[in-house]
Amino acid sequence: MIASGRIAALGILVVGVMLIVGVLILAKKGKLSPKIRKVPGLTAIEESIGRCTEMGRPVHFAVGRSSLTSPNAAETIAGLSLLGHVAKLAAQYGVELIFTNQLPEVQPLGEDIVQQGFVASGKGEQYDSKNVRFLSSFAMAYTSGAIGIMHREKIAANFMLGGWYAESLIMAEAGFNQGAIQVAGTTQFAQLPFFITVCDYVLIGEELLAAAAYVSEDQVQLGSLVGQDFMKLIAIFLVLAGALLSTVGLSDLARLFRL
Amino acid sequence: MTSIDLRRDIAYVIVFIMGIITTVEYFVVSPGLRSISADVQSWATIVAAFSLGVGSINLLRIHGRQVVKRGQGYYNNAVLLAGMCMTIVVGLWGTTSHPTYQFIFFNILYPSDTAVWSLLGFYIASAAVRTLRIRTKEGAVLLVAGILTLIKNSPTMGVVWGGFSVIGDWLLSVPNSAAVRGIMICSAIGVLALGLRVLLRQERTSLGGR
Repeated sequence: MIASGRIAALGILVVGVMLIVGVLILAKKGKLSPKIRKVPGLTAIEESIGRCTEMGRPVHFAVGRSSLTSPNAAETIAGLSLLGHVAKLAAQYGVELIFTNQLPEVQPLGEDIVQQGFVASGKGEQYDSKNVRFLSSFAMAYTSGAIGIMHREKIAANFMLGGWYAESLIMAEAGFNQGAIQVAGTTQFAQLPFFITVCDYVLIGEELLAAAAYVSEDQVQLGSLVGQDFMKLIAIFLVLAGALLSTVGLSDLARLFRL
Repeated sequence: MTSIDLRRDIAYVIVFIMGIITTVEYFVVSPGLRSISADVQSWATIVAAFSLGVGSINLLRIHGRQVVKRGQGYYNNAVLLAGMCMTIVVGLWGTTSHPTYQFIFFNILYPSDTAVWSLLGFYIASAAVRTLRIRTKEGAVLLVAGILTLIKNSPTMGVVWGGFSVIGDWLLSVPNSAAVRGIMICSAIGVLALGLRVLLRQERTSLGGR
């Protein structure tokens, strides 16, 4: 039996899964080759690493504070996917990559992802495990440790991609004071104004979640973004229909989607 | 297939099964399924707690190496290691309610934590100054909206003109809410797509795959 008040959400989930999986299958069969608009924040990643090479200074990467056991785990997963991409680029360009972390469960994943990135670029011997650093699981202890590293190591690029909370502004200001190019991304809308103020490029909400597919250039993964766009069209239609119906006094649609 | 690939395959199978269980449990009323889902979530918490040991080993390795090599500022690393070891020993020996542990927590950790939090106030002020500089048309709109919201929240301006409160409330409840809901809806759809990519093994980097 379906839980009361969740029938509409289940319907949306089923439609969404069918759309995204359908588009994934089409992309896998080669019947779909999506063109994706340029996301400045993602194209800036390679530029930033190139700048680190020119300056001979390291890159700093962090995925924030959304635990893998929390409902916001998707942000951390998206950040980890981008960590793999940055690790590959850092290895290719011969740049030192420092990954600081405050989530204990992410530590083994971070070590593995950075190492795999170096191996994938054919420079596995350059991987240095001391650059994947767990600092603390206390937010502010982590923050003070991370800003210390950013100052001491004189980073030239700072990537803050994942689930960020109160520490976002302190860390981004530390990067700004270092003169680092900063690319940040989160779905936490309370932190987005801080990032927009201080960072050079910001991935807002879904841009972060789609980033891994974007940088992979894999047609199948990009296909899922087309499915996402269909879902957004449905959402726009439902919002407009709900607003119109509510305006004329029919609130059934709005009531159906109330959680 | 190497042992690493096999390990990853097992991890993906576990992720897939657990993902399906917790998703179905959210929509279906079934006491049996709820109990399984609660167990699964407890396991996740236990596994996450074990990983704290991995983090501690990482700290020991990095800072221990620095102390042994007598690198620059090695005494800071030594203080960190001593503090960590002392807290672990006191916590394990006398539990977290032991007076020494309580002393460490309330007289060292808590004030240090609060001091760093308090920096946020200064950073917000400097960030606000940077934000409110008019460089573009959007910047001008932001400046006007920001000032009106500040006035709306100040206790005295409501007395000067009641309209400030009406405009401030409208800014927060109409354009601000619309933008936030747009981000939330798109993020939710993005989470669904990312979850499917992970469950269907299209998105491999996040579990350490190539």
